[in-house]
Amino acid sequence: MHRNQKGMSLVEIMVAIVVSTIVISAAYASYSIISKNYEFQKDLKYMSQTARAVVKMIARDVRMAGYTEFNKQQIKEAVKITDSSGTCCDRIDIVYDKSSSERIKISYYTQQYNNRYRLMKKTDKCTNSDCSSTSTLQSAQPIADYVEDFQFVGTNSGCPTDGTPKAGCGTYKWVSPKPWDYEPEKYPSLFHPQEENRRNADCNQQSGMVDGDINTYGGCRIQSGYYDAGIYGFQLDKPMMVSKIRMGSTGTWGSNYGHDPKYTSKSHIGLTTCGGISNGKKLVHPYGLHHPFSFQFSIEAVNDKPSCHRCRYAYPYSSGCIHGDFPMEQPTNNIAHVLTDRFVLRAYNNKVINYHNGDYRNITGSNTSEISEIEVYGESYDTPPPIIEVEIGLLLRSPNEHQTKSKSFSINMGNRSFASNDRYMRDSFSTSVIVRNLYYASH
Amino acid sequence: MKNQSGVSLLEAMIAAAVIGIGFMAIYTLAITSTSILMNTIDREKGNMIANTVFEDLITDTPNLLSYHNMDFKTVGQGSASHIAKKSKWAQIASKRFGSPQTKDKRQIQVVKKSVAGKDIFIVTIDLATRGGRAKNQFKRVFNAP
Repeated sequence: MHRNQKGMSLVEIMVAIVVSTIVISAAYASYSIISKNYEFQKDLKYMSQTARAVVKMIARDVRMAGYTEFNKQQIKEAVKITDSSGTCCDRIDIVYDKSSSERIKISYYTQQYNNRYRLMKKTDKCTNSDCSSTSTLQSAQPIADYVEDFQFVGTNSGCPTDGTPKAGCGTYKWVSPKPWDYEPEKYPSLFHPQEENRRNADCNQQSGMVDGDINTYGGCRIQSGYYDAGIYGFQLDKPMMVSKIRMGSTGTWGSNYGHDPKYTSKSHIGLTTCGGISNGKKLVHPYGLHHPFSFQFSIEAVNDKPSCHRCRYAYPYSSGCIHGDFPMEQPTNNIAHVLTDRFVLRAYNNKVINYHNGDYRNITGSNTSEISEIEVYGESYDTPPPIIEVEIGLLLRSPNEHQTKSKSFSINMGNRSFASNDRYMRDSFSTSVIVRNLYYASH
Repeated sequence: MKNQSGVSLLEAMIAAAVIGIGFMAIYTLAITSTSILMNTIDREKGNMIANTVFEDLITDTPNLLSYHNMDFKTVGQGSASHIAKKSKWAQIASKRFGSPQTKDKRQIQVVKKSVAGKDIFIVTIDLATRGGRAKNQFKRVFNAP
């Protein structure tokens, strides 16, 4: 036997253990770091790969939108964006002809799955030419997971295509406003303080003045001692930029001075000394259906700010005289380029005309006017242009949590603002596409 | 077996240090690969943004030369169509890449050339992100014969 065989001393063993522990823990630490890094990279790559695939796929379909095969009926709505406003997420429907016998509609939208959203793709075959009825060609399938936001912005040469008003993007036309039965209590600033207790009680019966019948009446009338003014409310179905106004009257007139003896307290239209009609001047025949008249007025767009007393800056204001046959026009200087869906017409120093001899006189004690023809001209946004440019935005989150601490994240995509505070990573992607078939058709 | 000797402490420490250098290299590898991945993602996003720019330019081809030397790091002042587009791109780029750092580049060059009697425009977009670490260039020819 080897008598001199020596073991290791305790110290040696301890040192060996310490050294190997250091090496092994370093190895473990690096394993864990590499593994975490791998997971991190995997999720980063997941987001960018998904985004690339999805965005390219949608962009390709948008580019095809509106393609019409020879001799086929025009596609009615090649790109349709359904806005989700503040929630997840928008939807897009794209229609084009795949072949001479097949018109298809491709839809991209999100669907909730567990606690997250998935992006779905669905292809339908149109069974009629405007694609209002369809049959399934390819049922809905998820093409991306962990979708946080999916937004589209459709424009036409920079103009909104959803009817959102923007100066320069609408179409100009004449629109008939409807009477607006405003409650004077809600709009005290429309009146001077001294007018408030001098107005009549009929302020919220506006409809009577535009029905062509002087039997019915409406509108506030102010007798302040300085002037007589009628304050008539009008509203538009959709906001527009009013740039001109025209008025006329087709009312059935009574005898002298526009008064039918039967309706002695009712006059029909506000007349004034402004413009062509003054003392000694008479109106010109024919008075007929479209009576010539002269009218001094101001027009004020109304907003709901309660604080201001007819503030001319907040309530854009325009005044002028109009006279002549309908249609007669008057530009509304300052009211143009202000979006409005309600306005008041304030007519000063109302006078009535005798349409038999063209004479006129002041109204005293009467409280009505008939303005049966009133139209405003301006930029209207009720027929939005078709979508030509599409901006695609996609916000994805990582499948797994990565950050060691919660981190706040916020982004505005399309018309939605997204905010979160958690440990997931998020990344956003966007691109734009022109709908070639529609763009080159219109240029 | 009498002269059998163990590993000396010094030798063990040296070995550990050498292994440590190896581990450092592995960490560097991990960090570098993440950085490269980030560059790749920025290239992907840059590609999408360049597409946005090119598509927007299609709608304004008569004024292509007004985009020459345009730097869309910041939004523009004014209502001219090319300024409005610059502002739009600046906002998009800042959302995708963050606000521009010192060595970042977001620039458009437009060169006009005459080929076979026809004017063509070569549009180049230079995008440098992550402090100049991720550099990408995108080109498209407009009005090509």
